[in-house]
Amino acid sequence: MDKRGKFKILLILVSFILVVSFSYIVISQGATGQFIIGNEPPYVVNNTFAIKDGANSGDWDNVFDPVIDTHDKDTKFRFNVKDSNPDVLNVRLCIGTAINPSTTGDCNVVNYNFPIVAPGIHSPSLGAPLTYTYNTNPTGTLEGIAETISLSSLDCSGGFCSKTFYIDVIVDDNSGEITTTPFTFNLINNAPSVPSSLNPSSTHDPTPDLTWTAVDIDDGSKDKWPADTLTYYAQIGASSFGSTDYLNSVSAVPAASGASFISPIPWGTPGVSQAVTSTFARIWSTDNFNITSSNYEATLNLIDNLPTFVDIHLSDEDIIAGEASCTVFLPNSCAINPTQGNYSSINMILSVKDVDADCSSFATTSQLTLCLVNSTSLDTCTPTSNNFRTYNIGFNAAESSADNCNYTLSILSGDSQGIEFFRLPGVYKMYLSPVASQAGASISWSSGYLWEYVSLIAPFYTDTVYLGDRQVDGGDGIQLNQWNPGLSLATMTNKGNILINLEWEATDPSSDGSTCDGKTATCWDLSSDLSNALQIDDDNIQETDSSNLFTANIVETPSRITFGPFGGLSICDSINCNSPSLNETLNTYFHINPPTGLSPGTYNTQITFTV
Amino acid sequence: MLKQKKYLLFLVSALFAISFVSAMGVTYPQPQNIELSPGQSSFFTFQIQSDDFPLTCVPIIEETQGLELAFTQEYNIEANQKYNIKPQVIIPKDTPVGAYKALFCMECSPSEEVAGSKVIPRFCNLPVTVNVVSERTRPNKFDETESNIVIWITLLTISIVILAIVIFFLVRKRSAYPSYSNQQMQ
Repeated sequence: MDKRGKFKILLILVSFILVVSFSYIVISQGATGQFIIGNEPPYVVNNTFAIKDGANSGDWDNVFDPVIDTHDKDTKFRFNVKDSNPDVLNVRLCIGTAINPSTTGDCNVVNYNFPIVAPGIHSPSLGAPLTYTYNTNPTGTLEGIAETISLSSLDCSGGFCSKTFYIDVIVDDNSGEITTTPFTFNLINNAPSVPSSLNPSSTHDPTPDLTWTAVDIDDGSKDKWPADTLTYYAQIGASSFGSTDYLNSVSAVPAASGASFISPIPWGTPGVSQAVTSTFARIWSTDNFNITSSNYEATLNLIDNLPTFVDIHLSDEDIIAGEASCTVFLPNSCAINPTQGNYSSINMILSVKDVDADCSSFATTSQLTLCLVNSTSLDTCTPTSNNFRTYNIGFNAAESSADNCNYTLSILSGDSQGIEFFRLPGVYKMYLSPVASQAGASISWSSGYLWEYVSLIAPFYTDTVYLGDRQVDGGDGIQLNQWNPGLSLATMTNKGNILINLEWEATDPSSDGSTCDGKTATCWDLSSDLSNALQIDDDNIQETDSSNLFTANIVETPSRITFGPFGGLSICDSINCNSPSLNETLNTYFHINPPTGLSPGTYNTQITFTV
Repeated sequence: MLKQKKYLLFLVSALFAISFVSAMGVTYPQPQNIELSPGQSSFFTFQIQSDDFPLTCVPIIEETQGLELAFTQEYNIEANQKYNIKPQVIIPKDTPVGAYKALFCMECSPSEEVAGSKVIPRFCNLPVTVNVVSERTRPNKFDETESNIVIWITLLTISIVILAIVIFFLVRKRSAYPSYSNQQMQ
């Protein structure tokens, strides 16, 4: 160490000694005083108590608000504690349902001890901030009969619910000072509004999707925060509101909801146009506090619109709507033309209107019964009474659209389901069984319509005939001036449905194809010897007619003679036309007695029969 | 005196087969009891059913009682057809109110030539009944077709008149303003 360093150390020591010495001199020279600093009570810092009542950061209710309230059952509390002394603070939050809960030993909601607040924590001017969140922080050991921050219907009036809770904040500085600061707050809630607007109010679905409107004004705004989530209850019963035959549903979704049916609503009893089942719906909702709205009660009708008759078309041909209606052109009804010698065809379209427009979704049929009961008869025509033909008519999707439903029937000519040709013509009754819907069929159904079976003249006969006794038929050829008995049989059969009276006539036979006019070498004038010329017979013997029809002399056109069964050619009674008791057929032979003077050749005549 | 017999081959109606049957049928006209006022007309229909042979059928009016029946002169029907014929019944304007009945026949013969004598059926007494009334109370089944015809005839007439007017004005305009080429020549 050099001299300069030693000097510095010395200077420091001297300065220290001088300072100590001067200090002793001053103290020893002043007057003696005393003051006592006591222990001050800890406290809750003014205006710091608040309760969270909104979503925003500033949404806290405190003493500056008219009322401290919250809609949050998980509400958050905050306040600051302080002690002027550097004491360790014990803070207890006591919440009860009665006033002064901490003094009455009734901290029955919250009795929570905060962690100790060290002096250094509460030393700032605003003290130590403390927060407590209900249902997050422990409630502590409760006193009395435990309760929660909640509401019941007893706390509600006119749809508004409120309950006051009492808070004591107890601060102990562990130095003998304990302060209790009381607060109150209200837990508030609006009951859910009455649900409304059940939709649908009527339905065609036995298990419909239901919606309704429900409102709760606790929508999440300040003092109404957090927004309530509603739970819906829906009941649908058969007899009264509150019964649960079809639906007893709880749905915890935040909007009007569908509900699952426990059993479908049954279809009602058919009336004229509808089958209605009235049900009783009751809907209500509860909110976060399990506060229940008033009941919403409405009727829900299950409606089945029954198919209504529009028209029926009937024809033996393709249906032309404007012409085949059985209802439009009365008294002329829809007509079916017989098919000669066969079964007629039948085409039918039954048109119905189904307002529900769901005829394609389920298989329905109708039945058409045709009777041979005359329209003027008092006899009835039903599927079991006087029915002649009963047809099942199936739904025809291709011929239907929306609410226009068509049921069709098509029977081809020759089908034994058709109508035999020999059925008598007339205007007859029909019966149309109603088309059913899900609930059944209308009790009022149009079925009293008529159909007509048209008259058909249909004599089956040859279009060419042999006259006389040809050698090919076993005869000896045609000789002049004598009777040549007809040997070729031509049989006429009545293949229609009306009695046939026959008249016959013939043109003069000629061999050159010309029209005859009087007797020539190539023309045989039938009128020149009427009774001795051309005869028609039902047997091949010209001379005698014992048990058969008498021969008749066919006259020259335009005159006619009558030849046929007495009373006419009968109508058949079977498809085969083979009744031994009916004159359904007529055998014909043609006897000729050509005069002399005719040249050899092939002679033609035109035989016309009139029916 | 012995009766002298002259043997002559007298072939009548040489046929290919006697077993061929001429099957045809005619239905009664529909509808009956047509309601019309004097001066009006409507249609009716009936059916001719042929079998294996084509037919040519000709209407023959038997009795009209003052009604007018409008047929086609003849109807050619193919084999195995159900042929609908739709004639018209017309009520003359001066026809008194009352019930009327016209009768007609249809005479049908095979369309094709046959090598023998034809047998021709004639279906007669086919009725057309009309109630002539001063005021109609209902539509008839085939009124609409008639209405369509009237409408079409009316539209056709109007079209012809309009066309004639247009042509008239075009010709007149052409006369009033000679063509450019004519002016050049002048």
